[in-house]
Amino acid sequence: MKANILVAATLAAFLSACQGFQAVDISMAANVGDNISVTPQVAWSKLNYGAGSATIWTIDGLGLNEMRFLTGIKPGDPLMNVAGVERKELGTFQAMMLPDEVMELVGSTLGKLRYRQIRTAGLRPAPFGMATGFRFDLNFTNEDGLQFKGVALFAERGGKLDLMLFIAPGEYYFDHYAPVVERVFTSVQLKDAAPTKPAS
Amino acid sequence: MLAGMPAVALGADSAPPPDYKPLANTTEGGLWLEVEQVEKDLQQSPLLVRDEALNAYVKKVVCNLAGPQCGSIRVYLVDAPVFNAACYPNGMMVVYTGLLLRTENEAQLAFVLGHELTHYLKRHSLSAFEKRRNTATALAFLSLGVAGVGIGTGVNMSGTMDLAQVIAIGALISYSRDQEREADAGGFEIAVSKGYDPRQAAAIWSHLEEEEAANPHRSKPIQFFADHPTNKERLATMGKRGEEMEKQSHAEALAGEEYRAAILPLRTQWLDEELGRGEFDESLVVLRRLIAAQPDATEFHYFLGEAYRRRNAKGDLENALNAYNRALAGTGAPVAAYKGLGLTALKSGKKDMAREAFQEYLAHAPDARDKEIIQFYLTSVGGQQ
Repeated sequence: MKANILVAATLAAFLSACQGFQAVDISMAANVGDNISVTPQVAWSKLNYGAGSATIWTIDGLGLNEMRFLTGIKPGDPLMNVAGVERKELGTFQAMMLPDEVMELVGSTLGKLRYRQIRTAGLRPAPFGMATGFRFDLNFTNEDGLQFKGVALFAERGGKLDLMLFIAPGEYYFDHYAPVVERVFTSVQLKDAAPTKPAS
Repeated sequence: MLAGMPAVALGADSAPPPDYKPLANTTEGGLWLEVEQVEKDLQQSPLLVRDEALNAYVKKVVCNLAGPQCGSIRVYLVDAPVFNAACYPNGMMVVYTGLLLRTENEAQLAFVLGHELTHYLKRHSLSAFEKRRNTATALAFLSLGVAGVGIGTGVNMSGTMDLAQVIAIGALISYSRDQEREADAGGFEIAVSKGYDPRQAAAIWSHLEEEEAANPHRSKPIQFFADHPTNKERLATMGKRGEEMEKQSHAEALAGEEYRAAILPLRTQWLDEELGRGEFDESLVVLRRLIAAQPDATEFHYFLGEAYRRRNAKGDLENALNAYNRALAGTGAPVAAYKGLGLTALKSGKKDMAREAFQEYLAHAPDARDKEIIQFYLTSVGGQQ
């Protein structure tokens, strides 16, 4: 009986999640939170989740390609909520974090999602709209043994963290959509003039 | 994997003879079929540690403990930074690298592996499974595994699985506390009979107790202990047994040097993954213990600095600076210690120290993949490459 209940709950959660998907309007810039907009480039579906402004876009489906927009993250907040993990167990964004520290936070958060063999590399400055941002590359494996690649772009503006994270299986999906992701990253527009904090 | 071996019916309390295979039309036979599929999937997983020497070493330890059952046990080392091991009903034994990082010598490893072997020899999984099963739903659950768990927040849409399925099937055959006590006792007897120092059994649980207690954020016990007797009970029992054994004539094999040599090629990667968990309170306990055993290992001091820097609690930056400097004062320190020193100095407002450290880093690693960000930091402190 217990297993039946679990199966039913899983299916209910899945159906509930599916109902939350909406098409992203490809004809105009999309607001992805905290006064940030990007141009979709291709047809994405989006899913809003959690209490904050976290949004996931996907082209072929979750697990195949996911662009996470984690924006307006305040000091003391985790990057995202993780099912089955208490909030106090998650690393949190802190004011005055160095870019390396943000990269490490992304890595440990993916670990809480039970991804393994997480490797981050290639951290470097990169434009985030008109702000100074940073980007880095990721490699990791999920518990199914499927290997993923990822790329992240982030900036700290007005004391808050804005992060875009694209992940997809290394076989086919990541490389296939990497040019699209680059165009999305390049299309970032900031609607306010929140100052960018230089590392010092 | 056991093709050609006779299928037999065996009493529930009997230890499986070498090359045992249950009848296919029994509950145990069905359970084996499921686990065998999991094992086939695991064999293809990139999470498997394929280092031949390390696999041979752990297999040797297992065979020494298992004696005539050696051929029935297949060892799989899984790259995951958690303290865990399990032996499944068909003889599939899974050992996680987080365990190998934490056991200090072969004796400690032997007590854990002896514990898992006892579960296998006593066929605990069968009785545990029978207690839990509502056969149709249990196996249906196995087929679904953990697909879909996490939808909506920490989205991880896993489909088919191997390690995830290992965990799922592990949950179905999780043992009772009495079975865990029996495995503790059995593992202790097996390891001591092979000459391992009996005090090392209590040492493991003592170390894990310390690790758990150090982390105020931990909401669940270390995975290995999910259904186990409490650490305190286990520590008391093993400590008492160890003291009793002390009074008797016995060997005191530790095999510490052999153990350290076996794990050395992969140790840096495991330490990196350990810090990647983001559980710095626990990692600091592990690192201090490693340093106590090998005070001159510069790598440990580097990672100690990393743990302090990343935790960044009160006083940690100063501790990190000391640890990086201690690493760099020795021989063979990781070049990354210069970077860690630079980042910590930058956080501490010590611009001159940061500039010097970053310049040293680039001088030692001119082609580093992160040289662009190092140059960015250098610019921020008024330095040049």
